[in-house]
Amino acid sequence: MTGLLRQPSPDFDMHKALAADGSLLNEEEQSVDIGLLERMHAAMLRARRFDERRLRLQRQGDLGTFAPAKGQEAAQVGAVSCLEEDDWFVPAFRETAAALWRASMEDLFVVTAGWNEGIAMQDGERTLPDTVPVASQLPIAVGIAHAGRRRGEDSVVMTVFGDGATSEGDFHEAMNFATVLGAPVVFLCQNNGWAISTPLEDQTASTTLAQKAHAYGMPAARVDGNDVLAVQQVTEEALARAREEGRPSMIEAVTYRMEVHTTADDPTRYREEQDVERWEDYDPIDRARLLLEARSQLDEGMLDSLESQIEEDIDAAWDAAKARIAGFDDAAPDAVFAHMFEEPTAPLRRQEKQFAQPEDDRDD
Amino acid sequence: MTEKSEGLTMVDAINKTLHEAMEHDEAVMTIGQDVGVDGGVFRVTEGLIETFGAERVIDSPLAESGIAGVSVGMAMNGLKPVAEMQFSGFSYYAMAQIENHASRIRWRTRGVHSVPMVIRMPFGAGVRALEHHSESREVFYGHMPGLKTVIPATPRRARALLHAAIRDADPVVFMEPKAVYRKMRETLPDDAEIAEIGKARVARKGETLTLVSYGAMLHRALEASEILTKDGIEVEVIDVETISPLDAEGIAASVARTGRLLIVNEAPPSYGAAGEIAMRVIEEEFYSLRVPIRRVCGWDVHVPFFAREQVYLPSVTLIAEAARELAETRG
Amino acid sequence: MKQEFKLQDPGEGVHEVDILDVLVAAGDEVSEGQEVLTVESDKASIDLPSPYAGTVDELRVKEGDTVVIGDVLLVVEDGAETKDDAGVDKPEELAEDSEETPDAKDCQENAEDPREAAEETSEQAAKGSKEEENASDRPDAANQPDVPAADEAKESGTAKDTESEGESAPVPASPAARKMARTRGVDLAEIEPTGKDGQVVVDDVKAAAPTQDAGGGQTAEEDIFGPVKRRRMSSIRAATAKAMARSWQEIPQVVHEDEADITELELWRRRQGDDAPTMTPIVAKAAAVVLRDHPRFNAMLDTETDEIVLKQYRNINLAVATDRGLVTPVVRGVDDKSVRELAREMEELSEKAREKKLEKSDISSGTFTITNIGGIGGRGLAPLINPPQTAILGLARARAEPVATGELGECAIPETRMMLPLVVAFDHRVIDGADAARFTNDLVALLADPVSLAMTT
Repeated sequence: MTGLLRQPSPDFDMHKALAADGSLLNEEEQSVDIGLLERMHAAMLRARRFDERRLRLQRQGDLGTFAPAKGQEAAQVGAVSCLEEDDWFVPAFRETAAALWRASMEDLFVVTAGWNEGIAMQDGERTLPDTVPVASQLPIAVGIAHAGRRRGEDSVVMTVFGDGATSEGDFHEAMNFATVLGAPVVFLCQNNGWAISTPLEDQTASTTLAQKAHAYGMPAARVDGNDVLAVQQVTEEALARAREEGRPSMIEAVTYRMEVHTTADDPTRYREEQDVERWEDYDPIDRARLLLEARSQLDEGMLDSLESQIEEDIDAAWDAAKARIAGFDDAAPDAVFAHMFEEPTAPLRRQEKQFAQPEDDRDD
Repeated sequence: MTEKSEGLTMVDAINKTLHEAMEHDEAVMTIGQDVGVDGGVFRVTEGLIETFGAERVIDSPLAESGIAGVSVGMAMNGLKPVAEMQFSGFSYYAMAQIENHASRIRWRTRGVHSVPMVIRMPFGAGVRALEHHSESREVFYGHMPGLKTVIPATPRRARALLHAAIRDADPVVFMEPKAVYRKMRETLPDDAEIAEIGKARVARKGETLTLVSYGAMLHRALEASEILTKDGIEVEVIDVETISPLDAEGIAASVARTGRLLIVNEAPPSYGAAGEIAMRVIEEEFYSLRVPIRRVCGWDVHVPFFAREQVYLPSVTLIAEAARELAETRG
Repeated sequence: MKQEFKLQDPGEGVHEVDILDVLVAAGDEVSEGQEVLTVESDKASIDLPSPYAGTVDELRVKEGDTVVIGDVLLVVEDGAETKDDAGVDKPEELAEDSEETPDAKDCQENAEDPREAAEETSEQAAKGSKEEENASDRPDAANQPDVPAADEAKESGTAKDTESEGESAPVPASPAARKMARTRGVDLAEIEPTGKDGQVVVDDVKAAAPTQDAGGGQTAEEDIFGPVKRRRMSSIRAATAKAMARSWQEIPQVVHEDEADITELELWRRRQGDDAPTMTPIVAKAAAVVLRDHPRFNAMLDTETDEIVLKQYRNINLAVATDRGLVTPVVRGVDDKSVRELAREMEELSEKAREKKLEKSDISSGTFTITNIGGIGGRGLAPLINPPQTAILGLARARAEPVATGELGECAIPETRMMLPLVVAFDHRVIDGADAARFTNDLVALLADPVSLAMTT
């Protein structure tokens, strides 16, 4: 007998709000919050310039390696702008734009320069630091969300991850837990087409990533990740569902990683320049700017002053970061030994003493 | 849970502890495979779901990493999860979450967030179990900075140590020697005792030689000591209880008196806890040593299928012989 | 009822003893007279028998302890109900000792006192200095003077070898033993090891330095000039110190030097092959002969009665260096023993000395002393007389030397002869220089002429 096995038939149109040229699609159906769009555009531009500066500084040796987010600004800003203060943001490690929406450039500089102290968040206990092991933040996000519900909060958790993460066991375990427990999580997948050198077609045989949510009984949407309005619209629906019903959903934001995986990567080894160039036509910042210009909210002069302001802010942040870094003591025992436990254990106290007095004076 | 007049087994004691802790603090909850309706495959969580409800006793999907990761998140956001790994042999799935996050979040966030969670798991050989159900890998956890690892040897101490673990503001791995689960009974005091994590316990006083052990092997150590006492060899038996942070000072203080140290555990010898304990004693009390330090351990092999389980484990005779030799070697 | 076995006064000015070995344990059955403890006083070890029969109730001492007269050593439950005579107060051994103790109070006490030169030498050997090199490579390579020297090394130098070896190779010892030795100021190499494979164990350190009082036990200290170390004196060392000081103070000693041509003797010895006796028994035999004709050298001065006591028997003390100091076991009745018998007996005594098994009888009743440093080296020595004796013979290292023969003025052809330097130190209250010269001449003559030696003995 044949025909007993059913093929997957994912039905996932990509949601769009803007055309490639920045003009609104379906204008009647959309109401645009221009003020918000301005802020989002500025935030995206700021993130782009910040990463460019970080890249320069890294090549100068002032900063360590990091994962630049060029091309993904809309996927991040469009989503994170929907969050309320009480909501949690649990990133992977490429969320520059989202991080800057909720945290300071100075802190990011300090972290990228290799100092634990930079992790200390301003306000925003609820914006977590980067998670390096891929997908491992996902079960944690579910736990945070579940605990928040148990405590009677209506806050939600937004967690961000990439296309590669959907292959990891933790992704599946987290999705499963989220639906079984009923946890208010928005799983935002930035599908930027690459996991270092692994293109999407080698990462999964699924037609889309969003359809994986369906396997867990979770609703999902697929959205043009370079369309900041579209991302925002989809996110609002997902957040409402989480907040009001306490249930999770997944968003696949289709975008492209325009830059290197991290500063230690050479993409010319595995992809063609023209592929990258094709995506420039869909640059998220350009599209938002074009819409603003079309609505007479932005002109060249304003753009220039925005750019200058951003430049100044970055300079100031870097100076402030440098000043802070200058005050750090390499070998400060408390910086090295602090925060291992609520109270240091006896072996730690002993070691800290040894660390502080390397030559003579050793206890043992 | 039944409380017979002759005392509680370790399973009973842990069960009682969970009841007490969840009663005492609403934030304490339990999560794991089969812990709710089934009461746990060893019945350790028996009765909890009936008393505290499904919100606080979660029958989780079969996903150790998920259990651990979700527990980390819950602990970060105000709860005190006591997560169960059904067997220590399956806890490796969860190791990434434990090493990458549970042990790090306080440090990573400079104290803004912390992870007050407990991960319980049965470990060790001696119940004729299937493959993967008999390992002793406490050093995997003992080696992780930012994590505490505790091993009780008796029902009473299991209660005291688990209460301490649940109250600890940081993540604790609580490894339960399943060979002891139902092996002995003890009367427990009415009021819950809270142990001090990081302090070894003198299980038996003596002057001739110091024997350090933990878990199921502690009982073999005590048996060996009773054999030797007939020959005037008085063994001081120390129960490590906390693998990490190790009470090196406490152990060394005993060796300072006896000059002789024997370490007994069931784990493979190479890179095991016995080596760490020996080194710490050398650091603290080298000049008290009259003879070389010795260890009696398992072997660097996988625990055989259960027909040979007892051949693998250090026997009371072997332990007594080693102790006797140390006691009788002049130094 | 419980009977206390206390340390009795063994006489001879001994006030305390060291416990070398406890031969019984609590709970053991003992019979009256059964040896229960081994103790050491000065240089002799004594087995103490139990004066009581019964069960050992309690041991009050352990190996390494120092006990004084009157201390309770152990308690025996004799099973008797009342205070009847369950045992004697004085161990039998002491009766034996009293027999040994001669009328002259000083005689026994000092008969075994070591010689100063040998003492110096053993101290040097203990420091592992050049003696080691000398012992192993003889500078006089012309022929083989090694042979007599080496043989002497066996008797008096072997212990030296032990000491030297102890310095060059690391001494096995546990950290606890090492620390205790350091704290008590004892050199590991000087401690008699009883552990496996020559390991010095904690008990050995305690035996070597039993008490850790301020004076004896401290480690590195300082005086006003710099760091110092303190070492507690062993019983042998202390006894030696006393005796030598006394010898120096009381006896006007003069040394007469000469050398004996032992070429013929040496050649004879070589012809015997492996069986050859060493020089010491031969010299002892010769000395015994000469002493017959020079009785003042085999005497004692009784200062109370102003009498010279001429001993009519010849018991010769031989100085033996051990790792704990110099001991002088005695060979009795040298006159009546052949050289081979003497050789054998001397070998046994040296063995006993090194193994700390000398008994009281082994070290008492000497009338004359011979000390031989030749095994280690030296051209001559000025040995101290062993009070209450009146003379001592010292031998240094024999060497092949060119000796002029023929008449002065004629062609004096040097021959290679084996020359043995010897010295006689004498008590000038009893002996004059001329006597010494004659004594020495006779001895030299005998040694130069083995046939006469054989005929006369």
